[in-house]
Amino acid sequence: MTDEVAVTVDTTLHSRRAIFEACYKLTGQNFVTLTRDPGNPNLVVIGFRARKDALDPSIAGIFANELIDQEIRGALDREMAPIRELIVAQAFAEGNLLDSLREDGDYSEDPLGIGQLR
Amino acid sequence: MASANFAEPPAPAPAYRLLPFRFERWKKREVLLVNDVGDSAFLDAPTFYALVGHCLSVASPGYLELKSKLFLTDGDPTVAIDLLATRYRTNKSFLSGFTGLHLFVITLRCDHSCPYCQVSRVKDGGSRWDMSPETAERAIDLMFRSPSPTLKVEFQGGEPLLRFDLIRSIVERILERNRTEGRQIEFVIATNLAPLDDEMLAYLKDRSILLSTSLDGPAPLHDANRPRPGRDSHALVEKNLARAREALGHDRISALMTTTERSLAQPREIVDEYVRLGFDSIFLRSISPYGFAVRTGAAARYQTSHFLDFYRAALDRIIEWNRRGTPIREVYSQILLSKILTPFATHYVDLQSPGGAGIGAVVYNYEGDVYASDEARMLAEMGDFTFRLGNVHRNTYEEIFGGETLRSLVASSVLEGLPGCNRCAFLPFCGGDPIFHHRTQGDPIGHRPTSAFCAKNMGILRHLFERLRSGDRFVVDLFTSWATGVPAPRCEEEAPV
Amino acid sequence: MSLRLQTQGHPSPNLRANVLGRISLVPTGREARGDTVRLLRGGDPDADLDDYAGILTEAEVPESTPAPWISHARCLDHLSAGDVVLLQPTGGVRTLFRPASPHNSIFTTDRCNSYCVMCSQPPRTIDDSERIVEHLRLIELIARGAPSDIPRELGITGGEPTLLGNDLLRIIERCRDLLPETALHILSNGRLFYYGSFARRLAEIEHPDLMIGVPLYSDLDVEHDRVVQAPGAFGQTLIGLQNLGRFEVPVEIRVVLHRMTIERLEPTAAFIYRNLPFAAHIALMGLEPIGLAVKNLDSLWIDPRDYAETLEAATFYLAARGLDVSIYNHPLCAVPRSLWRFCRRSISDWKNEYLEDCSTCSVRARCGGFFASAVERRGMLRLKVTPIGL
Repeated sequence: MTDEVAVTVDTTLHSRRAIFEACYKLTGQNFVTLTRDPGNPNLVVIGFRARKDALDPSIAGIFANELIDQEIRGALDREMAPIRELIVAQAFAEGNLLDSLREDGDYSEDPLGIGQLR
Repeated sequence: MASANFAEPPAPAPAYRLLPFRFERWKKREVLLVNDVGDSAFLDAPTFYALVGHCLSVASPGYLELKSKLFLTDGDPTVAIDLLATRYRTNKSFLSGFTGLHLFVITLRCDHSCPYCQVSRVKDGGSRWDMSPETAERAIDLMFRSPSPTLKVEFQGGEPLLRFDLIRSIVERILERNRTEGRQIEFVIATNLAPLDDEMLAYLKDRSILLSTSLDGPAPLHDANRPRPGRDSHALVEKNLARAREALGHDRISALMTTTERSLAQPREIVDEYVRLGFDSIFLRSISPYGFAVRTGAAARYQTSHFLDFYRAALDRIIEWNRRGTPIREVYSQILLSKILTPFATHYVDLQSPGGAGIGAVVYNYEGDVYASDEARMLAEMGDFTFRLGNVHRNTYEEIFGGETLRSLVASSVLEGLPGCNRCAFLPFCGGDPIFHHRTQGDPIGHRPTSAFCAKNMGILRHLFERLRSGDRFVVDLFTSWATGVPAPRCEEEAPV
Repeated sequence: MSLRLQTQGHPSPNLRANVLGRISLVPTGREARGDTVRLLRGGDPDADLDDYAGILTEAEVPESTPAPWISHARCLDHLSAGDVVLLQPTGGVRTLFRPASPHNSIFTTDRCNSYCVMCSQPPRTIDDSERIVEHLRLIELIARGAPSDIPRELGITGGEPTLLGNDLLRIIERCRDLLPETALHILSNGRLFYYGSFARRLAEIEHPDLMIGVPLYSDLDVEHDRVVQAPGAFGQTLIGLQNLGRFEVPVEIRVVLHRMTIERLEPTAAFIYRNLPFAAHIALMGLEPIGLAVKNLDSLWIDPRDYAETLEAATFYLAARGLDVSIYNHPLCAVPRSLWRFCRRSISDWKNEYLEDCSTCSVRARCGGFFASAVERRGMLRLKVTPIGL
């Protein structure tokens, strides 16, 4: 029965944000520590100790999978950020930020040719 | 004019763009996706990886559903963005009225001694524990500064009926002011019903005032939870409930329950008692860590996982009653289901981002202090004035509602900016509750992995999603009717003409 | 019953432009004659034909008659007092308005910017923009009829009415001013409301009882655009609907049910609920086998019995969410009994027919029956009825 499990993470493969997000999620059941490997600056050692009861034997696997999920979330956030901001901005804007014609376009002029006969 | 060559299949869709969503792992290698406006989809893991890897093909099952529900777009993205912006605006429309719920704590006097009481109650008489007419007047002034077209005025205490004369004068004053204000006003009194008499009932009827009372369960449980001299709280509630219903109408009195350690063992019995007493709704609330609750250690013994067991069992019983033809709905579930199943905003202050404390609801204490919520007021009773927004006699509306206290409170309740929340799939359904976190964890942002509020909401949401996916048509229809407020249209055959 | 709305005769030389007037079967006072087309049944000893807007007869008209006329009309039995007719220089006589009918529309234009595969009124590219004068005159003539002839509802159709631009707004304004008690039902593809200013101007008219019926055929752009045969139409229609909703113009969503739309009917219903929950009404409509639909009938027609389950699911989905939904153009025996309460007698009286077997059906009185054009093709469509016993 181990009291502490250490997981080594290569910081060239994983983002800082993902590492912290994954650690944060596990601080409910565990005390989590992060230490740089003195021999290799690209490696960080993450220590898990149970807060109460026994340490979950699969903690390393749980952390590893959570880390990958957080990487995916980070990638998704980066990809979605511009549209996310646009949605919120448009939600509270006066007028239309996506196409000003949706607000002040002249329907008689019909610059987009919507009324063009088929 | 182009000729009709519609019989050809459409050209393969171009590459797609992802529209904002968050995800959570589910059982059986499934993944729950929830987009920024609260629409959800379940995918199996391979489909999920293909989706985020941008190699999901238009022919794969799930692609069209994701497109329809605005998780991805392969056409003109500005159309999808416009639709999402409208939905987002609708979801946040609870902000436009600003403060709609105004709680007047008109006295601290009470004849009950409930251990979980969030109000420090005093037994002796004397008006130093009551709201003065001047304080009431200032509070009413502030209330009418709110832009909300509807105002809900709730009288609280202690036991507000002990100062019925004050209730009456405040109601009259508000109605008089409203002749020029033209708002829609609703009055509620939160009461244990014990002091009710015929004169009060006549007035309540005349002014269409609603009552909200506490019913914790069957008599032994209720009386143990809510002691008073004579140990007869439940009997009084039952008697006065009947009286009040007869005078005011059956649906004019609602009930709330509070869960204690004792309650946890009796989910079915509590639901049955609500049914027996003719209520069509029950609000399964958890115990709050404020006021007397902390002092008597009730909250400390309370584990969220036990509450969730209790909640699930009570919900089972509620569904069973509905199957038998007795309509009864659970209010907290209803609020969450409304967020999951409808495009409309909800107005429950604890499940909003930004949170409703102070901006959706506000408390005017008997001595004039203004608080962001009941809970904020309780902290003050314990010597912690962090969330006192000001005082009706000493501060202006701008100072109270535009001051730093409220601003930082609101800022710490915006889920998109909170660690642990901003990537959570349940974000669109949840709230922050900074006051709860300040009390239980020492800061308004709190620590999500150990937060009882978070664990409770995640537990309930997971359970509700499981039930919605269970394939049980009855439960799906029932939950839909709770969420929409529309009775399920019956699928029976029509009788012949 | 199906009715004649058109006939033909010999025009007078001085009938050089379209003339509108209200039918009268008897002589009228001098003040009303400018609004009136005097219908002469054979043998009417009526010498005084001065000042009428027009004269109409199956017989001859004295050469000296100053008013424009159409003589030797093929048939005039379908016309009643109070009907508004259009006399054309070609000798055509078109009925534009019938007080006896609950289904009257102003047909604003033949032009359309979409080309739906099942279009019952195929568009034509002609410049008919000067007809605005006639439309405004029609409204005036209706308003000046007998008080009991004022219609409860008036449709505004085409083609695509929004192509009239400001002239459409003029029509609505005139209806507001002259027919304030008449509800207006405008049928439009909604695309030009992409320009929010159009929706705003329409809302600013503050017509007391107006609704715009807009077709939506799918939850997906490619599918909708395939049906309307106009790329980009789906997005334009949705933005248009959002604009109408923003300015609180009542909106109805119409879904025509056929082979190209039925498969995604349930996701479409869900899409409507999520994005257009402000819709005042949703109509799920049976196909009218006329116009362009006829050419493509094989690829479009589907017996309602074959989609009963999906229709039931979609209807109850919407009803369970508090949306007002109706089923149009389906006979009762073709849909599950559970849906009867959503079925309406929607087919315009002048093209509404029943089959022979319907005479023995116990619910015929509340059943909407068939399109005349469907009855005409009943063999090909394999129409069948199952009379409901008592």
